Amino acid sequence: MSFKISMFSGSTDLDDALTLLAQTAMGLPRDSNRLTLEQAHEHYCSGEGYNQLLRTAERFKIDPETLPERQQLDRLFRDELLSRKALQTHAARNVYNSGKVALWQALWEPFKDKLLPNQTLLQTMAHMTALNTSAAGGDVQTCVDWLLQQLKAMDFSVETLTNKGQAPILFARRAAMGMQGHLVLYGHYDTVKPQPERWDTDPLKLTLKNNRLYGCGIGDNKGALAVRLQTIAGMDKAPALTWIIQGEEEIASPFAHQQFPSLLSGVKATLWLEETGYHDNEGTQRLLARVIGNEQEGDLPPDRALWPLIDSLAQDAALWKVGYRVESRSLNKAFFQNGCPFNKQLPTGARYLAIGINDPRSGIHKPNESIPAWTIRLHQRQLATVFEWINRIAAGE
Amino acid sequence: MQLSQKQIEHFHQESYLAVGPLVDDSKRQQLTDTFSDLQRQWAQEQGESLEDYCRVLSQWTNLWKQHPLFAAQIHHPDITAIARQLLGVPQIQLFHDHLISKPPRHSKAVPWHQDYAFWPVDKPTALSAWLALDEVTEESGCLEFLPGAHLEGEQAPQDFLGSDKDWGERRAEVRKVPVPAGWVIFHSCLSWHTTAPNQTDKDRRAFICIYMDANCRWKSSHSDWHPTNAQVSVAPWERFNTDEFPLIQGVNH
Repeated sequence: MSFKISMFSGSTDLDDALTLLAQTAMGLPRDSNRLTLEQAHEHYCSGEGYNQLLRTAERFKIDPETLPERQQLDRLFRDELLSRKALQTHAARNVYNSGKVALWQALWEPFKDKLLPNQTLLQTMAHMTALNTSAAGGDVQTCVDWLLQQLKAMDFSVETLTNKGQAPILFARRAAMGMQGHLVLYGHYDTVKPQPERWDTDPLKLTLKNNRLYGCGIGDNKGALAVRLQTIAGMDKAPALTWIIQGEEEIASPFAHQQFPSLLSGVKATLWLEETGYHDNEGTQRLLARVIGNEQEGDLPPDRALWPLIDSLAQDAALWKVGYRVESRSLNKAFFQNGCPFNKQLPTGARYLAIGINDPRSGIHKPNESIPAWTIRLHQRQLATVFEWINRIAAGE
Repeated sequence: MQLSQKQIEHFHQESYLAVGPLVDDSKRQQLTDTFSDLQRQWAQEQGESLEDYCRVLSQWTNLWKQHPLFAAQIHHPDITAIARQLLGVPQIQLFHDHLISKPPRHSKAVPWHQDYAFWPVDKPTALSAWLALDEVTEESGCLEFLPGAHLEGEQAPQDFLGSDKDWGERRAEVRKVPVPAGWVIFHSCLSWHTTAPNQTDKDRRAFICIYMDANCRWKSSHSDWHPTNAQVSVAPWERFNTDEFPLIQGVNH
């Protein structure tokens, strides 16, 4: 699976790509309908639309010279519109799809790698999705072994906590690589039970449709886990990292509740990063940021140190033309009686952040669970921003 | 027209057979002139210059519905008699016709593919009768076949925009089939074929009729995206409706 152009008539690849780019360049709501080619023509070839396209290229450090002149772009759109209209009116078309390909290459290729995940990350996500890691699934150990291999390849030292009949916990640590500070990341590799009969696609097969990625557990939590694994693997510098990944989140985390208190006792971190986070349907990012108060205080708003991070994350979101809002709370989860074992262990004074790749349409625990594909690159950028902030803050503290 | 046993065997072994001339120059000229008139008409209707229209569009489907000359052409007695003999069936039906143009300077290669993989038809008892409306040379993009590859059966449909079909050492077996104008190349729907771009300054047009056994049934699941599905008014697994998929009467019928 990849984001590529296809000849097959039912394919909406070009239209999806033009819609995604228009959302990024012109700030169309992220839940807007797919643009028709006529609408895309109007957006991209109007004076204002074309200027926004050029400015977007600059924001993403794409040489505007690589984009076609407005007049050329107009011709490319008109050629493809002619092909589509001719098909409707007298069953004629461009059999070589040259118009479709020309638009794809001229307009989308320069932005593609800036706005969508690369093939390696998609493969990682597809691999994780294919493993049935529900409590009754048979792939828990395979997944644990694979995660172990990935983490070790990234120079983490990993402690695997096991107990008969319980899904292992991975407690991974890595010393700083050229940056100060310490980040604790949380995640889980288990999912709810896939129910293929209730899905439109195979829940264990990562499927791309309408700019969204579908698969069991993709929003909770395999997608974010895969993005973070691949992003951190590609970073030359990083603060000290502690990564705790459990496998019973969907069945009330009994082993985690037993183990986390001792694992996380006394851990001092510059930031504690939640398993994922959300965007609103139209794109606005929810930045869940708080400081853990004492028992009487509860959740406290971000302190002075956290605000520069929030500002930087907001600037990242602005690159994608989406806004943000700050909420001082933890990520909503399907809490069981004992609550989230990670959040329960946050020490007083801990700085907590939840950012991620989901939106309200993700449908966590439901059939057709999905994530919007556009959030992935933003999350990758924001992870780098988090690392830089940790380095700065830790130096000051 | 009766084919020899040797010709029929060639078709089955090699996946294609070139026969000609089957259409004389006068009829061929009428067909190309009529098509040029239609192009002018369509360009005007689309509000495009003829030059832009011809630069952008390259395939016209079901011309038999557009002009009586093409409606008669799909029933050409010799071509349809040969189609029946090669398919080994008493009655055939038109799946669709199409004219493909590779104008000078504005054409591309069509990658290696099998036609049947793209069709919503239940069995591969079908062939294309590829009538050269212009002389077709290696330089202008003649049909090329890999003889015998059709005997390996149906493969997954090739995506022309991402095709990477490579025959490796079998490339040496590829047969280029240039033909004079008025000749017809009959090729199996399972034949592996390709065409190169037209690198000459002359037109390269072919009028292609796809004939299937009249007992073929509509199987939309075999190709649910194919535009012809929209013309089907029967239920899945029934014979195609004859208003949109005309039965071709034989001389004895």
